[in-house]
Amino acid sequence: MVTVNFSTILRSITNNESSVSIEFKGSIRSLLEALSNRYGETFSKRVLDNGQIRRYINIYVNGEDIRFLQGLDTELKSTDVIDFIPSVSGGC
Amino acid sequence: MTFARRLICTNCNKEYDLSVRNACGNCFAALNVQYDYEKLGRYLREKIETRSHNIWRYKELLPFYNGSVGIHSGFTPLRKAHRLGEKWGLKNLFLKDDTVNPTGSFKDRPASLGVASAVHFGLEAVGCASTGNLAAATAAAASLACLPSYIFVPNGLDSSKLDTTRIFGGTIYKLGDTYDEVNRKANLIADRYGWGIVNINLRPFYVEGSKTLIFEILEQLNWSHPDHIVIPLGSGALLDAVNRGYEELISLGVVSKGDKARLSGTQPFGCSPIVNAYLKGSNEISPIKYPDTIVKSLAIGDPASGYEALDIIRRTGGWGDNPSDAEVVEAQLALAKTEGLFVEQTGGCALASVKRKAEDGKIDRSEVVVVALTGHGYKTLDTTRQFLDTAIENSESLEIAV
Repeated sequence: MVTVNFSTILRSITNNESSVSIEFKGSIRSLLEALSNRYGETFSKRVLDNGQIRRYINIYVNGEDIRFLQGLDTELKSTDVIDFIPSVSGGC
Repeated sequence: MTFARRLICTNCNKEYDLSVRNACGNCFAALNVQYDYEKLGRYLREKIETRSHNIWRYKELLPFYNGSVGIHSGFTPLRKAHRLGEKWGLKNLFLKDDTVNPTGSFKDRPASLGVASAVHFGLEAVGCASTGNLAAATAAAASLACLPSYIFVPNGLDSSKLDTTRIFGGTIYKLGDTYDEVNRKANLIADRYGWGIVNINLRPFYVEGSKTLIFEILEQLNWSHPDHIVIPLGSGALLDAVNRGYEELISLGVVSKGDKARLSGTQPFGCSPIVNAYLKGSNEISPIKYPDTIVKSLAIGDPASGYEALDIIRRTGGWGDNPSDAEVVEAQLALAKTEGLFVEQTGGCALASVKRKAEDGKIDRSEVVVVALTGHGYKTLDTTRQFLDTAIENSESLEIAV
């Protein structure tokens, strides 16, 4: 069972769900498909841009940015925690 | 009164009421505050010039004026660096000295706006994710607003930055080894607790405070354009705010159209994701997982406003540069020994880039160059101490009876 958390701003595409636990095995790319099935096509349209993660969203697996892993091809384990967070935060 | 009217997405132009949110719900890009410029009326310059010397001098172009918060922040000196300029062959080198802000860095500007917006929205506490300077600035602004502050930092910061934050009553949490890890966790905290994390869920209002840096530079140059402004880049948001404030004053006629300064950015070699993209001619910014630099204020591997900063540098004809840590310290100490000013490594980074670009002819000898010195040297004394080559002598070396 993987746990997926969505930052407040992203809940506009998750029927206002902040977190979901689902039986899942596969890559981040497959997870996005599973989440699109759950939330509708809008989900993947808003998260992806030309097949890549939209610049304004960061995805983390157990706290690790997937850009430092294998990106969309990052394989998930059943106990993983995935966070979707807008990239526009911090600094100045 | 505020002329701020709404938030607008920087990517898809979707509009929102002024509210606690950091990104667009449609495309998740950054939001900017939009003002009713047409209602500002005439004589804005004259109104500004009659006011007190703090950030609220420019209150028409800031959200949520607050008569308590921010009253000590801003209107810092613009100093002409005669001796350093002579040393590096620059006739018109100016230093925007933000070390004299109440907590010793430019962060008093945006933190004041972040806390003022928390007050406006009736939030019960404020906080921030910080590499150190914002920590103290947020805690100080919170003390003026009588709000508790929760400060999230990475491990390994100079002790003076932590102690300064504690002096103002901030509660510090160390949340990881890098700023980016802290930032991710602070996002989760903002969602969970409903606090006003100034550079997360209050970010659109917070960044407005940094516009006052350029407002002051232009006013202190008698509302004329410099040729060139050099800004240190952490997240890139300061350069973005400087550019936006600059464009506002041009569009309002406070400064003339045309001859806008080139805007350049500088990052340390060990953490320069924005500058790397500039130097490669790339439109993609690759994040840095483990920043490796003594310039801890700029050790942000995944810059939130990186793309905006990269675009501004290119559009204005500026440059991006990334000096080594050794060059940073050399410039930091050169400033101290010529101008009597002690800045943290961030200022040294900006100055090192100016020196490099003066040497290779990318800055003309007569250009009016303004360099943002964003933080005081006492804040990073632990780091600087390692590079001091002046011994502390014992009394036996003096020919006196002790």
